[in-house]
Amino acid sequence: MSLHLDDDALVLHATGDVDDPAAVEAHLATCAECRERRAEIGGVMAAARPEVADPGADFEARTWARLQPALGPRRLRTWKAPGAWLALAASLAVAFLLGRQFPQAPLPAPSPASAALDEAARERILLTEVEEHLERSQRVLVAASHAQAPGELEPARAVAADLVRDNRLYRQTALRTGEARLVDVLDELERLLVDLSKAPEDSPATDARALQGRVDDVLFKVRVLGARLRGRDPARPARVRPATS
Amino acid sequence: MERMEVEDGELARARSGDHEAFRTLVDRHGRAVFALAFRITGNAHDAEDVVQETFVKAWRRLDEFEARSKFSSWIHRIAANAAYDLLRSRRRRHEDPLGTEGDDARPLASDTPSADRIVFGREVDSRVRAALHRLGPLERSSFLLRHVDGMSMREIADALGSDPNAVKQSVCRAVKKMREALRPALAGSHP
Repeated sequence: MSLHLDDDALVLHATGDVDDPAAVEAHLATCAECRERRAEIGGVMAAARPEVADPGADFEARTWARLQPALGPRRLRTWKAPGAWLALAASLAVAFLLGRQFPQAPLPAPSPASAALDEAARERILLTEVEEHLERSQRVLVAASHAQAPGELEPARAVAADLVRDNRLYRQTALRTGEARLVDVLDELERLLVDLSKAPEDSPATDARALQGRVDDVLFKVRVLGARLRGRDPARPARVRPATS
Repeated sequence: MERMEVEDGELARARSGDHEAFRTLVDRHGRAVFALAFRITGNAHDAEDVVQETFVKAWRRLDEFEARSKFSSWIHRIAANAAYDLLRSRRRRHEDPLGTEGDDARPLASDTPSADRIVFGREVDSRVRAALHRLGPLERSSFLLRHVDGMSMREIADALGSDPNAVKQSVCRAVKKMREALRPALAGSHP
């Protein structure tokens, strides 16, 4: 049996999370060594409150100026309305069939006209494309997450496989040009899409809320990135341009 | 009570798509979110990014907010998650999350105690920042959210996608490391 309290018990006493505070306090009342260690921990915690920088008097105005363009209209949660998601699943199936008839063209090579666009404009175009790509991905994933019968997952699986290819292209571009946060976002999405494209045909077992939350997270991050890029100094050389391979 | 009712009205209007109502909420809670994010990320630039991400997420998820809980608690959980994600992402890429490479690269300050309280305060502050920098993302986030922001272990676990026991252990490890880093400076203050 230990004669003294361990450090973890003293730390948790200091944070108010120890399981039996009365027992700790009874021991501290009789043990000078533990009281000294408890006091030292208290001193460390009192000191360990990092200063926070003042964000400036214009913080609220600056925050809103960046935030507002990223908000967009509010959307209804489609998973709560079975009719809505069924309609969405149906439209996805149509889109999938159309996609087979008229496969999506690969990303176009830069034309002379596009080459003439300034770098900032190309950044915006890429971000718009990425955002649209993510919106398409979200629709597919939402529909897949609500599939309830073996055949319902198939259209979404096939579209997801197509989206994986686009996603890799965007991710490679972002990786090459050093857009670390964009790479993170696209990494996350790619894992989702790959999971879906490889899901067994008869398995509708995807957790709708978890999946929707993951997709939403990706969208939020891209919207923030978009707002940040739009706020970049236009004189600054662009670091992102679409991959051509 | 009255303020909560006002906030309920703003939330209802924001849910229906009213940007101005949402702006009121952003104005009211933005600085607290910035402070939380600054402590975890360690610099103003990242903290402002976290503020952006937090409120974009909040806008998109207003339907998930349950009226019986406090909006400030909800928004802080979103911010904690965003800041933690950013910190983890930076650590994976071996970037410097605090923007204090010089502070961290140099050895901890001399063990010689200073008689000048200002110098002493600076020394402690420098050691605190260096020690925080050395903590892992879960240790740093858990410690600051519990110790400074007053979130419960359960709230922290929910916000960071962890479990309360892991958070508890992280807090203990963080304090242990902080203690080792600060011990010389604090011992010097009590000759």
